[in-house]
Amino acid sequence: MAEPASRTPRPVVGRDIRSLPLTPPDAFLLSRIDGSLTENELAALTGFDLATVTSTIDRLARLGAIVFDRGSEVAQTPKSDVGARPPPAPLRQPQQNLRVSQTFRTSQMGIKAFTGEPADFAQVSDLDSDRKRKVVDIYARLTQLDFYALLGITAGADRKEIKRAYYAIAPDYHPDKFYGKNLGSFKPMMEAIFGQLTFAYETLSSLERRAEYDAYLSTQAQTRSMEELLRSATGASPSIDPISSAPMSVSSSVPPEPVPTKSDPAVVGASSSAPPAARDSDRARREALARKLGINRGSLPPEVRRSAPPTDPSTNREAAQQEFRRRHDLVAAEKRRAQARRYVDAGAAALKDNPAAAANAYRLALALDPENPEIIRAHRQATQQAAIALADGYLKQGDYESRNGQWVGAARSYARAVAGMPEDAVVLQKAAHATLKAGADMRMAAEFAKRAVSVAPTRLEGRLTLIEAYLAAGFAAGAKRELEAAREIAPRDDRIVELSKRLK
Amino acid sequence: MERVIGIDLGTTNSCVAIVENDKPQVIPNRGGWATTPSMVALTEAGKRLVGHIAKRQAITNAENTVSAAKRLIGRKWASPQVKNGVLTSSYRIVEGPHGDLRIQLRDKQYSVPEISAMVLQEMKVIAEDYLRQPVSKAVVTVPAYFNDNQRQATKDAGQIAGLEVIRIINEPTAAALAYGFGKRLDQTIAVYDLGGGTFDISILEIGEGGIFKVIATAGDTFLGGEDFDSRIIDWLVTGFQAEHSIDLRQDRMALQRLRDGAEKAKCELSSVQETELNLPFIISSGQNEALHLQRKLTRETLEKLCGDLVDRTVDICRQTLKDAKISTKEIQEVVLVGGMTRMPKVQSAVGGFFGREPCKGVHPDEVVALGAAIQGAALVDEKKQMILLDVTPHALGIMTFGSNFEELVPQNTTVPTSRAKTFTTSRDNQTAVKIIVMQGESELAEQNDLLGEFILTGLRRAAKGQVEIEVTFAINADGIVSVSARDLETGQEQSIQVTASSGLTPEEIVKMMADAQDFTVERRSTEEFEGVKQEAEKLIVQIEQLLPDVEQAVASSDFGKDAIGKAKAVVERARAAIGKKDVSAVREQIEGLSRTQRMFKGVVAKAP
Repeated sequence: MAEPASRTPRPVVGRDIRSLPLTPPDAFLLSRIDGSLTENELAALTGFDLATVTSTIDRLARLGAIVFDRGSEVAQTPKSDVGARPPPAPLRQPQQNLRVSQTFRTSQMGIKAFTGEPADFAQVSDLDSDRKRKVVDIYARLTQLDFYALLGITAGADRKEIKRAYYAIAPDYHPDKFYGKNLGSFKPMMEAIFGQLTFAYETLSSLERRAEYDAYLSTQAQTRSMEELLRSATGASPSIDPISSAPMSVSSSVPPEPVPTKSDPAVVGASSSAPPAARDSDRARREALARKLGINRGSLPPEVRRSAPPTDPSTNREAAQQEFRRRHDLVAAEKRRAQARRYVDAGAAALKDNPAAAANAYRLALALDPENPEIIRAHRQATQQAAIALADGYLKQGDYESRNGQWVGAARSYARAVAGMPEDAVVLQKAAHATLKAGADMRMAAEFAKRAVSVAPTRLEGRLTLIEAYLAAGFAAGAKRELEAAREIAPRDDRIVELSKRLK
Repeated sequence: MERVIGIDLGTTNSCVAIVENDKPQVIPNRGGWATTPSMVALTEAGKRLVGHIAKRQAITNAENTVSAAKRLIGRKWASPQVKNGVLTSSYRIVEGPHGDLRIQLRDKQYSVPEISAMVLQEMKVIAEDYLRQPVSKAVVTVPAYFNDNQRQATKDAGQIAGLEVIRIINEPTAAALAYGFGKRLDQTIAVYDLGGGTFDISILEIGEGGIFKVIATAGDTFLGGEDFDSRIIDWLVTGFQAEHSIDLRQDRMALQRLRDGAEKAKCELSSVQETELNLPFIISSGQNEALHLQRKLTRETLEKLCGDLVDRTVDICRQTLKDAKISTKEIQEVVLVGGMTRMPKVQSAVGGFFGREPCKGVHPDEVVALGAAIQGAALVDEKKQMILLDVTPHALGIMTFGSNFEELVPQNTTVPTSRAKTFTTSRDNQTAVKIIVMQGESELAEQNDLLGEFILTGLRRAAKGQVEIEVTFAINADGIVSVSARDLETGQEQSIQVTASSGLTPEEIVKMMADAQDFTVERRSTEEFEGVKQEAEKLIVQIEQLLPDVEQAVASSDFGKDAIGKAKAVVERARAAIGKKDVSAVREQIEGLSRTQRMFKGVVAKAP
C-alpha cells in the first residue's frame, strides 16, 4: 500500500455528496480532488496542513465519496513492457493488504461501486466471517482485477497453471459447496465471483480469446503507463535538479537512516541534501526507464558510477582538495552533458512509438542540462505529443467500453481523452453521451456537451447531447434554448422533434 | 442426515443407487435386478403395474402398457416427435388441454409426467425397502440434450411421485462422476452415452480435488437403442409383407412381440454372429389359421441396417469436439455409457474416431444412477469434496424484431452465470416491449423452444432505436433462469423467473400428487398389510373360539373377569387397527393378541 501522503484520491462518480455529513472545509477539499492531485499537492493547493488533508481524505474515503487510484503502484510494471510480472497473491490465501485495500479500492470502473458490508453480514451464520470478508472484498474489486490477478497467476502462465489455479479457487465460490446453507446476500455475490472466475479461465484457456484479451490488457496498460510517465514528465519542473526533486512523499516515508555522509562519496560529489533513500528510488526509476529505452547499464547517470574521491585524512590538504574538486566538477559537468545527449537521443528514438517515454527522457535530459534551449523545446513538444497519444488511447478504450455497454468506464475514459484533446468536439460529445449513459454526474455531462457545442457550434450531435443532458438534469429552460439553436441547424431532424416532445 | 437417492430415469430401463459408507452402489429391485424396465401398465381390473411385471404382460395388454414415455416427456402435441410417437406406439396418445399430450390407458388419460412418476415411485419404493427408511430426496438424471421444458417435466414427475428432486443432472455427466469418483484424476475425458432413446456426448475436465467441469455437451434426443430396434422391425415387417402380404404394424399385439423379438436379437448379436427370430402365431391369416414369423438375422445384416445410426453419433462427436476446439488427441479417456455401447460396431466406431480403446471400467447400465447418487451425497454431505461444474446444454436468448433469435447465453456456458445485452425499440413511439425468452441454437426464433415471456412497459415515446433496453439473463446453480429487462434511461425494470413449462399447471401437479399419494398408501398397505392382517385375524379367531371355555373356567374370580375384559379390549383394538388399514397399529396389537391367546390356551388346558 502506498504511503498516505502520496495517495491520489479520485471522486466517486455518481455519489450523492449532499447526503454526506461534511463540513465546509471537507467539501472544499473534496471539490479540489480531481483524481490527479496527490495529497501533498492537495495540501499545497488548499493551504491545509498535510495532517488535516490526510485525515479528511481518510474520512471522505470512509464515506465513499472518494477512492484511490492505482497511481502509487507504478512498480507493478505492465506486462507488455517486461515479460512476466511477479505473480499476484492468489485469492485463496487472503493477505493482509486485501483487507486494508477493501475500504479504499472500490471498483475502478465504478460499475459495482460497493463499499460496505451487506446488511445481513452478521445474520449469515453458515459462512465464517473470514470467508464473508473475502467474498465482500473480491466482489467489490471484481471488475478491476484482471483475469491473471483474479486467478492469481502470472501473465506468462501456461494452460496447466491456469487450469490448476482455476480448479483450486473456483469451488470456494460455487454455491453447491454450500448446498442447503443460508448464504443470504452472499449467494449472488459468490455466484458473480464464480462466473467471473470461470469467464477468466475460459478466456485464458482459449488461445484465440487469450490473445484478444491480452491485446486489450496491453492497450489498457499502455495508457496507464503512459499516464504515469507523463505525470512524472510534466510534474517535474525542468530547472530543478532531479535529485532534489525527489517526491517529498517518498522521502518522508523513509525513516532517516544514519548514513555517514562523509564515507559516501556519491553524496559528497553530488552535494545533495536529499536522504539516500530518496535518491535510490529516483535512480531506480531512471534505471527502469533506461532499460525500457534500451540503454544498457553502463551508461547510467554519472553520479551512480562516480569514482570515489580520496578521503584519506592524512592527505587532506586544502589546495589539493580544491583543485581536485574543480577538475572533478568539470569532468562531472561534461559527463552530465554527455548523458543528457544520450537521453535526448533516446527521447528522439522513442518519440514516434512512445511519446510519453520520450517526454520523460527529455525531462531527464533537461534535468542534467537545464539551460539547453533545444532540449527545452523538444521536451515541450514531446509532452504535447504524449498527451495526445494518451488521449487517443483513452479514446480507444472509451470506444471499446461503450461498445460493450460499460458506460461508467467509458465516461471515465472519454473524460480523460478530453483532457488531452480539449478542442475536439467529437470527443467532448462522446464524453457527454457516456456520462449521461452512465447515469453519473449530469452537471458534468452538460459541461462536456456545452464545450462540445462551443467548439463546434454548427454540429448537431453536440447540441442534441446537450439537450439530453439538460433534460436529464431537469433544466428545461436550457433545453428549450438549445432546441431553438438546434432547429436553426437542422429544422426537420426527427430527433429534434422527438426531444421537443419530451420537453413538453 | 437425510439420504438422497440417485435415479437414472431411462427410456427403457431405470436404475436407483445410493452412496453408502462412501461407496456408491446400485439398489436391486425385489426381483434382484439392478435395473427396472421403465414400463407402466393398467390392468383390466384397474391395477397399476410398473417394471418387470408391466413388461411381462405387455404383449397381452399392449394398448394399456406404456413404454419409452421419456421420448414424449416435456414435448408439445404438435411436435414431430409426438406425431411420430402417435404412429408407432402400441398405446394411444391423445391431445392434452395445454397443447401437450396425454396417454389414454383404459378410460383415463394420464400426462407423461404422471406416467414417469409411476416409474420414479417404483424406484423410490425399491430404495425405501432396501434402506428401511422413508426417502424424500433424489437426484434424477436426464439426457444432456434435454431442454428446460423436458427437465421441468422430469422434476414435476418427481414431485408427483413424492420426491423432491434436489438436482437434475445430465446422464453423461453423472457417468463421468461415477467414473472419476474416488480417483485422483487430472484429465480430459469424453463420455459417449448411447442409451435406449437418446444419444449424448460430453467432454469433461476432471481436476484434482474432485472437480468435474463440463466443457461441452451435445447430442440427439431421438437417437437410441429403440431406433436400432425399429430398423430390425422394419426389416422383419417388410419381409413378412413380401411373403404374406400382411402388414404386421396394423396389429398392436404383433407389433409388441416384434419389438421384444427385435430387442432380444439385437442384444444377442453383441455376443454371437447370428441369431434366429422366432415368433410363432404372430398374426391370424384370416382363415382360422395363424402365421409364424421365423427369420435368421446376422450381425452383418444388423450392422448394415443400423450403420447410418452409428455414423450419426460419430458425426455429432466430431462436431462437438470442433465446437469446443478440442482435438481427439487431447481426450485422455473415452467412457462408454448405455446398453447400446455393448454393440461391437458402436465400440469399434467410437474407438476408431477417438483413436483409442474405450474405457471398460464402468458398467454401462448402472454408471449413470451411481453418478446421480454421488452428486446427491456431495450436495448434502459437507465432508464430500466434489463439485460439478455443469453447463447449459442449449443457448438462451430472446426473440428480436423479424423473428430473429438473439443469443445471450451461449451453449455450453458454465453455470451459474449471468449475461447482459442492450437492445433497442423496433418501432417509433413504442412504449412497451415484449421479452420473449427462448432456448435453442437456431437463428430463426420459431425453430427454438419458447421458455417464457414478459412485457416491459412505460418506455418513453421515441423514434425507433432510441430507447435502449438492457436484458440480463442469470442462471443459478440449480439451473433456474431469471431474465430481467431494464430501460436504461428511466431505470424501469421488469423481470421474471423463467419456469419452464412441462405442460402441467401447478394445480394439476398438486392433484396428481394427491392421487399418487393415495395410490402408494393403498399399494404398500396391500402388500405389508395383508400379512399382518392375516396374522392378527388368525389370533382373533382362536381367541374367540377359546373365549366361552375361558369364561366358564374363570368367571367366578375377579381376576378372571378382569383378564377377560382386557382380552376383549385387545381384540377390539386389533379390529379397529385392521379397519384403518394401519400396518404398524395392527403389528402392535399382534403381540397383545398372541399373549392373550397363549394365556387362554393355558387356562383351558388347566380347566377341569
